[in-house]
Amino acid sequence: MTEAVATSAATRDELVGLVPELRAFALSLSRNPSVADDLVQETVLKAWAKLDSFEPGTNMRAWLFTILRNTFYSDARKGKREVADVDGAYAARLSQKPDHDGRLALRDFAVAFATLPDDQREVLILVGASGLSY
Amino acid sequence: MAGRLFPDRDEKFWTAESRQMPEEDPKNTDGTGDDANRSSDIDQQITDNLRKLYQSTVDEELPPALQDLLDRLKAQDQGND
Repeated sequence: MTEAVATSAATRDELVGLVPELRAFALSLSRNPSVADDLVQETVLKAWAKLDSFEPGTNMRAWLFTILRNTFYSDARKGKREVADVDGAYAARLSQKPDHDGRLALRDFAVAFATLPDDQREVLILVGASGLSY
Repeated sequence: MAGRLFPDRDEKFWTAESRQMPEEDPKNTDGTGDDANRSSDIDQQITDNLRKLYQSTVDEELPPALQDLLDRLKAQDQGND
């Protein structure tokens, strides 16, 4: 196996390993699980096709998140996808039981989070949860 | 007492000791008070919930359609290598 092929395989593995995080970011943006999975598929296909242009050693997570984010906003502009969480699907997937200690219950938090504008949800998830800088 | 600007104040008012500020509450040493502590606790709860929300999705198994797509892409590339 040549060095280039090994590097390429490692890059692909890194991409595959980041798919769960892509899903979490997609869900926070779209608030809809099926839309989120479509977004991730589209992002993976685009990234896979451009993998040769990815520079090993640079931040693949930031690269993938950027592709997903641009895809989301581009689709939203075209009206391609309905992104509203009309049925509370985002909060409903949480299995956590309600808290009784007066702290913010996660489900209530998810409902409140879903009401924020797209750009605010994006910043909160990127900075507060994923550890990326905005 | 003639000539004093505030003749109704007694002598003690004009001493240095009497002009010291009340002792500070040790909890409020940053000078911002309980409201700041409460706000910081809420900030922490928001951060914790954001991470839980994010991590709960990261920890899920990938849906079959997505897993199939990744398997196909990997197989296709292995064929090309």
